[in-house]
Amino acid sequence: MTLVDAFLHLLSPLPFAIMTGGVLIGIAVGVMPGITAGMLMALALPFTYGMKSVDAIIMLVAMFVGGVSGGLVTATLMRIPGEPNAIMTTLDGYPLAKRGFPGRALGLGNAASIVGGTLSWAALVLLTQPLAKVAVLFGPWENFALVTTALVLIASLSRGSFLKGMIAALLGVLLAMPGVDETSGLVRLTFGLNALTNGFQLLPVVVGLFALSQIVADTLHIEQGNDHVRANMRGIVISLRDYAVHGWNMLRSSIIGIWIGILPGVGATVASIAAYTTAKNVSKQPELFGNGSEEAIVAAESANNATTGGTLIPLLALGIPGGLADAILLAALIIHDLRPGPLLYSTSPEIVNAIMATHLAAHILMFLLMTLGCLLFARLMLIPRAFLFPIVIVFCILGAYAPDTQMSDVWIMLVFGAAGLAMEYARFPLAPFVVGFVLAPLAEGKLRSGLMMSAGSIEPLFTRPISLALICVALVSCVWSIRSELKGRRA
Amino acid sequence: METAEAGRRRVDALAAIIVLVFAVVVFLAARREPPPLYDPFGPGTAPMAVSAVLAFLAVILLVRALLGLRIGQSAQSLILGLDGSAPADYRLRPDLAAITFATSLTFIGAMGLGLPFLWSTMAFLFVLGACLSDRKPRSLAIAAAVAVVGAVAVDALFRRILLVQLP
Repeated sequence: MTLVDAFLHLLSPLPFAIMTGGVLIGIAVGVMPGITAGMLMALALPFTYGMKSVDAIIMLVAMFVGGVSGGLVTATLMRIPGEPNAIMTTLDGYPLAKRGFPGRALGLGNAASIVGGTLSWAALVLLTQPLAKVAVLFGPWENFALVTTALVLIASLSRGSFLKGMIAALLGVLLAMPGVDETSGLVRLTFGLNALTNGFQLLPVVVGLFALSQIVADTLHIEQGNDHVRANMRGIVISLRDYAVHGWNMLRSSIIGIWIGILPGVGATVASIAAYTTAKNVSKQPELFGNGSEEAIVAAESANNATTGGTLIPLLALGIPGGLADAILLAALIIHDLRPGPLLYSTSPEIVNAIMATHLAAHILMFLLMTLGCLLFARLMLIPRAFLFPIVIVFCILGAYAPDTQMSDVWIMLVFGAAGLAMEYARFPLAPFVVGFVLAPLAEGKLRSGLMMSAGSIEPLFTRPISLALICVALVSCVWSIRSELKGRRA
Repeated sequence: METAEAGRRRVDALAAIIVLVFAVVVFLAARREPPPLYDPFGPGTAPMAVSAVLAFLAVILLVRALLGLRIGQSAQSLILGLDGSAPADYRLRPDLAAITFATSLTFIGAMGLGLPFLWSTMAFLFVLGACLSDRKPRSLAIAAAVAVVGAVAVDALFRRILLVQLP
């Protein structure tokens, strides 16, 4: 299936309905404060079991795009970022809406989102295959070095503490190890518990970490008021002149978003902050930022949607997820017996092309739905969370239970929910943890294959040029991060 | 400010101790794994190596926390609303967060004990919905309606459409 075939496939009734449903649910979830796109994707995973792989991927990518975009509505009309990446939109979208231009604020954000999404799609299509062609030449040592480097980069690039990032990543790696050891076939680290014979399954872990913990955290803020601006459609469709006026800002912010999306573990929130700051620095009216600046809305929304394509590049080309949404997509591929990585191009081109086609088509659909239905979406903000949250918890429990109908998976989900809350409270980043958890089996498998090929010697890791270069990148990143932390002042 | 910083250091020290204990337990368990059969590595080597590095990092974290050296905190959150900042216009409700976790635990426990899914879900949706609402008669009525409709709908979706064998 070529990319053109994938687009044509999306136009057939069932895939189109799945994509539309995915975008709609994604936007709805993005609009509702307290429920994130990552949470939605985690909860949707069990429903993909009975679907064809292509359709499952279409639904998840559509939810990802819709979820990233829907945060705009709540940020603009309620001053609450429905998604973390909409936080910068809040600063200017709400003041502009409050001044009597809610339609204009939503229209600008929506237009910036489609431009950011489209440019990132172009980057996705142009960069992924060349990168995958290089990666397909990798042997076990290069793959092991790549995964190790990705984990170090995620720990060092997720801003804050490198030490905590590395601890989180290694915790994720360690928790992926109980169960059947794939190389020897022996069961390890079960501590005598039958429930651990198959290890910690990805689905309960992801649902617990990102869905259950988020709901519990949301209940802390249940008394948060519902002070919102009434939406109207006036100005929701912006003119070509507006595109021309904001074109350079959209392009610059999109490039920032694509680049930050490619970097592992950084994400859309940082992209929108970086684009916002850059736009403010070069603006002729920086004093308007924070008071309803159109430039600010455009910068933040272009950048956060541009990360959606950027973040898929390392996932498709290298099999390395850069963040939560990619980790869940990776999980979906694994659940459907697909092997993520550069070989995906040759073994399952229909999946790669479906992801690319859906990425663009979902953005176009999102733009149309947000333009036509923003008044309806705005009403979702008013759903009482007191009655919504218990239902989401029931879905968390069933999401963990349904795949293997094991109550032990539900307990595991609960434990990981508590662990996610504890880690966030202690300010340990969760992204390195989940990426470490997902990539650990791959890293260990490749290392052991390499060791078998070299009769137990790790010398090839340092004599093969690509693996040596990757290890050097990891070491430099480590040294740079440690040096930055040691230079920090005493607390 | 000073108190908040001291509190943060205590949390870091406690986290370091928990990670250290976990790493030591895994290291000792991995040591008992059988020796390698086909490959030079064996099933226990990777967990031992990772837990050793983890223990080393936990010790660094503990020492830095105890000495009051800068550790840093994750500046990115994947879970919204846990940044610890006190909002100006409403109260934080840790009691409701605890109730949410406790009722979820009870619900799962009830399912584990073999209580029918439909009835336990109905009870869970009503109790938690009532706790999270303002508990006025209208809210309680809505919670009851959501509990009945929600439990029947979820039960039908999973049991009849997705053909999942529910407890």
